[in-house]
Amino acid sequence: MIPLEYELLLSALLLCIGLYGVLARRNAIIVLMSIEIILNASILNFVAFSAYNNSPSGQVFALLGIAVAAAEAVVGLAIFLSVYQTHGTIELDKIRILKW
Amino acid sequence: MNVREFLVLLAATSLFLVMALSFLAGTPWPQTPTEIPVYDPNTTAGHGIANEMFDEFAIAIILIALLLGAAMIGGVYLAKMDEPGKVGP
Repeated sequence: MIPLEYELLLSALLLCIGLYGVLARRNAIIVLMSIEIILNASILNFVAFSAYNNSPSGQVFALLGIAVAAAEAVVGLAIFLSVYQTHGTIELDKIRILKW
Repeated sequence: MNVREFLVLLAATSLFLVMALSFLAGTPWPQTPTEIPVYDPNTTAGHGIANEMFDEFAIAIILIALLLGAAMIGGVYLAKMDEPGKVGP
């Protein structure tokens, strides 16, 4: 049995790793992966509190969150593919105009 | 490591320390986890994940299905490129 505090600590660690990736890195793929890490941190919180409060709603929300993360990854990767075709790079600091 | 990465690392580390202290400093968290069944056959007081998902969150499931379908169509639309520089079909 893992105490709830340890699960919350792991979730906070995942959140901070994701924030570092979003704010410090410039590669769009790494930023997208960091956003997924942040989403996984929130999903871990949902599951942990659901198990410790004897409520299945949190685990249902976790499944819905996984579906949202999948949709976000699909659209994000497609946008980056298109940006690479038009700009020749996916370095976020070098993409300065939002037009095709 | 440049200045930007150092500042972000400092901010993320301090955020983690604040959250860790708030988690560990005397908060009365529940101590015993309970096992939630995937499906509870007792239909009057169903407490399983599947019971909850298809009773209370049925609309959310439909909306998620629409979202996934829209994401699939949008992803194909954005990624489909017949000639360089031209987006969409």
